Amino acid sequence: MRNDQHSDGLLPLDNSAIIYPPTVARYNTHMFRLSMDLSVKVIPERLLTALEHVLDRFPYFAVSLHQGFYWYYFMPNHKPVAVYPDVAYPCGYLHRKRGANGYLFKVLYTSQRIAIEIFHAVTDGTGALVFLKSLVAEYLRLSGRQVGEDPQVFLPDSPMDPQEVEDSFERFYTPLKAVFGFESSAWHMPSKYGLSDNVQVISARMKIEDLKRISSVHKVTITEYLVAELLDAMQRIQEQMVGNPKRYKPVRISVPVNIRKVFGSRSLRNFTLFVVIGIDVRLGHYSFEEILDQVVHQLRGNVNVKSLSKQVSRNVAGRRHPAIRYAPNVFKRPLMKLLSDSYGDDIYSTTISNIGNVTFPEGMREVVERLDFHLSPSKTNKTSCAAIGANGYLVMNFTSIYATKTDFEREALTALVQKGIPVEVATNRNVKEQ
Amino acid sequence: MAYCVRCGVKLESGATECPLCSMEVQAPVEVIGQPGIPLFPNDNTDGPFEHPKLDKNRKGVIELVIAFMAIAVITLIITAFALGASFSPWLPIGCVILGGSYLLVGLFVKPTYQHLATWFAAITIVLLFIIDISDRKVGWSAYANLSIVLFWLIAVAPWTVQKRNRIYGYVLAGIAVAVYLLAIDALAGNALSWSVTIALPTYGISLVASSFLLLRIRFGKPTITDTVMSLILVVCWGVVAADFFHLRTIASPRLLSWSSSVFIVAVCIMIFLTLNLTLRRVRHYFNNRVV
Repeated sequence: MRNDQHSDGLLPLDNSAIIYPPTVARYNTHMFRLSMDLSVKVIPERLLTALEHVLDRFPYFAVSLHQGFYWYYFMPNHKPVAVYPDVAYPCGYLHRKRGANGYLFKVLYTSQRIAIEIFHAVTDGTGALVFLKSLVAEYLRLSGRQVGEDPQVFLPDSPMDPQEVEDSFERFYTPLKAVFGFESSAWHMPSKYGLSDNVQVISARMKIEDLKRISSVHKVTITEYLVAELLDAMQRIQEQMVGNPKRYKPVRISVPVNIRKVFGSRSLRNFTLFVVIGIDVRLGHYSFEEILDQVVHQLRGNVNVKSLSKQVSRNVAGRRHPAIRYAPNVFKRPLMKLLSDSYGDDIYSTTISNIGNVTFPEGMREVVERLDFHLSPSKTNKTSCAAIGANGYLVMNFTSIYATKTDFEREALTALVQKGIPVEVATNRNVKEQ
Repeated sequence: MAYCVRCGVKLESGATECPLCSMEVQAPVEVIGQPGIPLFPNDNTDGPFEHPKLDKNRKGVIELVIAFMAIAVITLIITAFALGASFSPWLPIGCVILGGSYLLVGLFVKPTYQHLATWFAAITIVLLFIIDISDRKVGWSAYANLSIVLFWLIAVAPWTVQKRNRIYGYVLAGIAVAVYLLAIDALAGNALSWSVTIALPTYGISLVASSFLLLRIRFGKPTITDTVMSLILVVCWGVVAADFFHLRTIASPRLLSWSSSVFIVAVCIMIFLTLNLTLRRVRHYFNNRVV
């Protein structure tokens, strides 16, 4: 049984998490998934023990979500935790009370895989990665293996840093009188091709070395290169699907940026902002080099303390405004749903989240064979892309609610192949049914 | 492991189709390989995923509508308490509920014409009735609700049955109009008067004239000119019949009064339609094509 040494009172949602609970819906589950394929067999009982140990170290993950008069909030969850067999479709809707005994995450297993699916209100990709690495490390220790030290692996008996649980948005908030622009709607792939209730995945694996080689030719980072490829693919898809150029709309991609390093935060709750990068296709067709220029200019221009502070300021000031702060949740909820589209999903065409290259400590490096990261798509942006690197390979997982349509994935991946990057694909789609 | 010849991607071991383009792999089994561990388990051991029934925007609008309805109703009740007998809040509350219900029906009900029209009609009938009986007697709402029922019978009921049975819907609508005319007459006075002597005969004539047009549409291929002129003819006959039966009711010695000119127009249209139907040259001239 878990030992609730850290659990105490109510925990408010962090500043970027407040948008997630009210906007959960059929095609917007706000779940994401991280998984590790291991070379050793996974024993569920041992995994459960490891989870119980690790969860004591991460009390801010052992919470349940409640609806207050003004805001949603977390409360420590004392119910028994469980591990679940992995399922065919990732990032499914997790009911906040019945889904996983009140917990907002699920630890899943197959014979050789440990995965975590987590509601975005709890943490972001970095927080979840630390949790998963700590869980797998603990599992391996319980299996009799020695695991070396790693800044992202927390021992169950190590003391908790108070900064881990802080809402860094509040800490780094500075009141700014900045002018916030309003982006127009971006182009979205239409719903008419048939949607599925389950998240369909196309997983592409490629060597990091190959990506580095081609990125260095263009003098850009791997993320910048991938963003440019996806923008180019989306541009081509729009040209194919929309016959009349007068009906073209800008194509934009949302790129979540881990701002912990920028601000020097050690929080393991959400501390990510989104940089929206795009091209205005109404001005004419962009060549790949032009797209790359735009991506580099926009991404580098927006990832700095001043630009990010503007976003932090906007988010925190919005929450602190008396009209919002003291409005009952019953009024806030519908407004948030509507605003989340205007300022969120509607202004970009898809998302790519790249966690980057993940390293493992001694003892774990030999065991972890593959690392996967999946984002849940949304009704507006029906296909999302999540990338993560480990052991010399980068895995790009395209998650989609399209039942059969895979044009975007095909455009993006064949472009990589044409540029000399070997890509290996796998899917959870039932190919025979297509 | 095989490669897709169209996309150029390497397929996972054992894959027989490309997941990107559904291209079948044409290669020996040794090349395709044996199926390895799939990306996700094939059997969904966790059972089907449950998910919220509504999408995000729908939920948002529903909650917003309910919130605004609640605010409006509370405000009206407070106003009524403050102003006392000089202000009755029931009519505005009824209007708020009516408006809000329309929006909610639009969001909750299956978005087909039949479902939406039926719900709108039912809500309107109930609310008009409730507003009307606030003075404990049924008055104006009877006329309004009868009209709504008539609208439903004509414009919605035929579409609730299968296409091959739609003729019964049209017959029902035809009978409904006649009943409606009688009911309105009965509600307005103590005995049936104008409905029997003027409205029903006029309606009968119009129905016969319309039947010709419907038969023409069903079994022939009328041109636009034909259809428009036939419609005008139906209206003309209706007008002439109304005048004729009105004159008979008041025992006038004249056969027709102001509708004589309409009668002449009707005769001209009939001549035109007959020529158009029988003479190829006329058809060609008016339709700019040989039919």
